[in-house]
Amino acid sequence: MEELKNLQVLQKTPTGIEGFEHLTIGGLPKGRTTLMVGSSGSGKTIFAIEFLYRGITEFNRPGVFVTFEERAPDIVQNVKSMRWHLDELVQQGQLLFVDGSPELEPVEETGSYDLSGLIVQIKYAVEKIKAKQVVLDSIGSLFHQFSNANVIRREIFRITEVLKEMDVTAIMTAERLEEYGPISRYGIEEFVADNVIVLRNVLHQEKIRRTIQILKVRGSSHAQGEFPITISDSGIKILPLSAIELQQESSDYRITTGNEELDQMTSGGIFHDSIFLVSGPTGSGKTLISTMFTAAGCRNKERVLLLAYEESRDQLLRNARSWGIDFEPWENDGLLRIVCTYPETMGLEDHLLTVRKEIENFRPQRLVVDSVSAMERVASVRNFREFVIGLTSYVKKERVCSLFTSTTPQLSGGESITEAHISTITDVIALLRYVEVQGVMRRGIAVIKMRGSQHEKNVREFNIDGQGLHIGLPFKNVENIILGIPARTTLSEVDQLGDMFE
Amino acid sequence: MTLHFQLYIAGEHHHNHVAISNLQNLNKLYCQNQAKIEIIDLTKSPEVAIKARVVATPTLVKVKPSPVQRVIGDLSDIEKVATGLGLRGMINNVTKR
Repeated sequence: MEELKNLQVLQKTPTGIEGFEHLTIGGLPKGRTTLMVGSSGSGKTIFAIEFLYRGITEFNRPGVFVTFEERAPDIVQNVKSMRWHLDELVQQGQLLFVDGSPELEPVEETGSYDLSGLIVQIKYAVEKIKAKQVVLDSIGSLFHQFSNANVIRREIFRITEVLKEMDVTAIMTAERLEEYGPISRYGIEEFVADNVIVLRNVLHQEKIRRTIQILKVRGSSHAQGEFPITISDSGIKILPLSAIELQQESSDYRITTGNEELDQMTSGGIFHDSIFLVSGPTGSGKTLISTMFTAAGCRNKERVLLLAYEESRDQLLRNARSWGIDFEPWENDGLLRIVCTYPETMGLEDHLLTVRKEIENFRPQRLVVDSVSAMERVASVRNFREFVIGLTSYVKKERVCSLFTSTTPQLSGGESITEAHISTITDVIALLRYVEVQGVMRRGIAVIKMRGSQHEKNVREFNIDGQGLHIGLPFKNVENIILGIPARTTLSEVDQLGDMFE
Repeated sequence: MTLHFQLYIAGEHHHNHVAISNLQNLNKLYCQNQAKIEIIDLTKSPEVAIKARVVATPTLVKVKPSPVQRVIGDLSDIEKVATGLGLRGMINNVTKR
């Protein structure tokens, strides 16, 4: 029982891969081997290389790359585009390749053998550069090289034991054939069962959707479920939507919406770190409110990032000019950045990544997204929900005052998918509605929610003209405007209501 | 004609000893004991394992004559090894007992 004494809690090794530490609460189990499985093209090799690269460059952990598939020079070249210069790390003695790729000539097998040659190589490489981390990519290839699968399974287990003895943290990759089938092709997980991560690459509604799932990590907790990932020229990013903390600093500082009456309705403007959702049917004035909000920011010398998913740049500029607002001088002054993209150009994960990049680079005080609901049409509800949550949590974290617009599907109003998923996260919601009163179309606006502040409860009429938006008096004797089914109330009922509160 | 074999082994595992004796048999039966045989224990010279890219042990490498060929395992089927390495043509030179 001596050996059971002095056992400590399993420690974690940070990977430096964005979002991974969050998911796993600290990284990979230190001194253990983690099996990473995925179908071809799911990003296993990139993940493994990024783990090594960041381990060396950010955490000063020398590493060994054992390759069973590609030759070392090919691997070095493949990641040059990410500006990961593995060859330099090799020269600095921080990285060592062990080449276990197959022989070009067929190799005869006769009688008993094991993989001691490989184990000798790994041990030697680890000791030579005092490696703290090892990648084996991919062990499935061993099953192609050698015919005795039982020997290979046993030897893979022996390798993990050797790695454990040397106290190195390792990633072992393996293929799988189906995205939601058996964990790996060769039953390796039964041997290296402590820690298993699954990468997936699913074609969903004609878009590639990549995810990561921490299947199990022994002796510690981790985030459950599949999380979207993106692979770009700066590596892998995991977007742990639900895990982004809401590190909000509440603040009483209010900023103008760009419209005096709307500021009045919100008791003096919206808080500078809030998310403002404007929802309404097409043509009801959402883009106008976005434009005013943008202009108000620029006039106050705040940087504004305007993301347009429905209209081209020219259309936007023309719309703004028709309300007497000229965007171009602000753009030239670096106060305004307009980014027009069509939702169809990429998957939502990449859209989210693009938005984050734009925010990181431009550091805006205000963000306008017109419209968020445009994204509904290119994704599943679940995917869209993840996008919305990811976006809102990010702007919250960065404390960018954001205005999102959402188009309701019916002209009269009603609820949209965007509203359903976004309304709990937003701080201020304004609804725009068409109101038919005695055969005449009129427009109504209501602030239905404002976190941490009083707001006006009336539905007020507004007009749009060449100077912008003018909010007038509350509707009288009309009910159910918000629901999109306005109905006149009779005077006697109003009188009755008045009586009720006297 | 020169014959040159390298046999890579690692440590004291039984199949390493079997491979050595099988290789000696092969030399006797097919090569008139003329082959040059090097036995390399990788546990004693691990850097050679990296250079020669030896993954499985035992591994027999026929260095000469070209082409370079590999056989892995304890060489228990000598005939198969001889055929695989193209040594059977030389069987005429060997006096069978």
